[in-house]
Amino acid sequence: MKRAITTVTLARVVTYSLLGALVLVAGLNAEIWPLSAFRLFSQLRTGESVTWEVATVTGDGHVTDVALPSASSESSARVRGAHHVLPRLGERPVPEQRRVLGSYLRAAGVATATVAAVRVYRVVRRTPTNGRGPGPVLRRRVHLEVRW
Amino acid sequence: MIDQRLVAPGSFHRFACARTVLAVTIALRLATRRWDVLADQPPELFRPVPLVSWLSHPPGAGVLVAVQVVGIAGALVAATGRRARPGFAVAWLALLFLAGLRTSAGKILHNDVLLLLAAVPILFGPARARLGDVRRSASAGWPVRASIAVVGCVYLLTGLQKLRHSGLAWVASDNFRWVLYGGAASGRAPIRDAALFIADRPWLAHLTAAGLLGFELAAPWLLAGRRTRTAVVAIAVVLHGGTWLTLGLDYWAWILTVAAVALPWDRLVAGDEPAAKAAVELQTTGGRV
Repeated sequence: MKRAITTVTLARVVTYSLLGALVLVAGLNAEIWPLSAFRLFSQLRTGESVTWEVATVTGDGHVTDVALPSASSESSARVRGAHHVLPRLGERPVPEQRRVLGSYLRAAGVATATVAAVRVYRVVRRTPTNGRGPGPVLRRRVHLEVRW
Repeated sequence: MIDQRLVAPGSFHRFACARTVLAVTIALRLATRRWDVLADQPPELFRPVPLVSWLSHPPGAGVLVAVQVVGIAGALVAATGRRARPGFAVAWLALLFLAGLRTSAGKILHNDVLLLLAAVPILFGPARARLGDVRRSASAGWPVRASIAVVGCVYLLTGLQKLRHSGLAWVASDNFRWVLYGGAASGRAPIRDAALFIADRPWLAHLTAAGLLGFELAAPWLLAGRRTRTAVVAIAVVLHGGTWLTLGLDYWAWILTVAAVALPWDRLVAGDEPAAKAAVELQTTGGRV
């Protein structure tokens, strides 16, 4: 009888705990991976999309866009997730901002000897309807500038 | 009633099938990806999820490859049926660790989440379950049913979040068309024209969005019925296969996970279910096997 109780109790504990955790985490919009809020494409999309771009600025004000390796590339582990890190980088301490941006510059092979500042731009583009991206830039503003 | 269904007897054969397919899926996930490149991630870009927050930086490539190899070996051991429980646990832990590191770059990834979550109840299943063993026991029944419940819950939550954050506009607005246009422009989709074909036809985009959301919301009920459960596998093939074709997103592990827990293995391999039921039944409250 003791074994019987063990099987049924185990079934209930594991099943209801797991389902309860799934519902709780989703209800709180939390991300405790692998428990997730499961917000897969849950936000409405429009004809405009936001991207985040990095650029260097020299002492004489010359701005050069930094071409980061494709985030979807398997070999570009160095810059995976850049578009999720950059939007909130301004909330971090300046030394951390420098370290993070420095990593992106190194990954892109950019020499920093003449760099006076690094900028993060928030760029709004029109989503192309012909499948040939990226679309035209509608708005581009400096989101963050870090002195180098 | 739900509780009674959860702990009702199930065949060892069905449990063994589910565990074998999940083990093979874990082996494929581990084998078909270069996990060693995670070592290249600079510490300052490492955004660990709580599971691996005890690490200050990604492990070296040697450690990552070692975990990958051990995980594949564990999955293959589990798939053979010998030492299946420890083998499955090792494989699951390996994928949990490596996929956890992969999602520690700022963006939460869901590619392996359904597989990892659905496998949790299977970890607690009977150690000596064998393919072709039509005996039935509660210990073999509840893990598969719990996995089905997890899969249904995940799809339901995914659908509810769409309603919660976007409402019916998720279907009624041009939202889904822009999802597809974005996918076509991303360069990831293997067949760009598939996304454009749907996006260029508003009625088709609305219909597809409604079907997708309807499936997610109905998944628990579809999975609860024996007759509709097999249809869920077919729908998962269409849904996630379509996601790959139009957006280039890799969700094949979700298809195999749904198939592992939802296919009627008793009928497909062991013959007719009534015959299996007529076989020796261990008591619902039977011992550990």
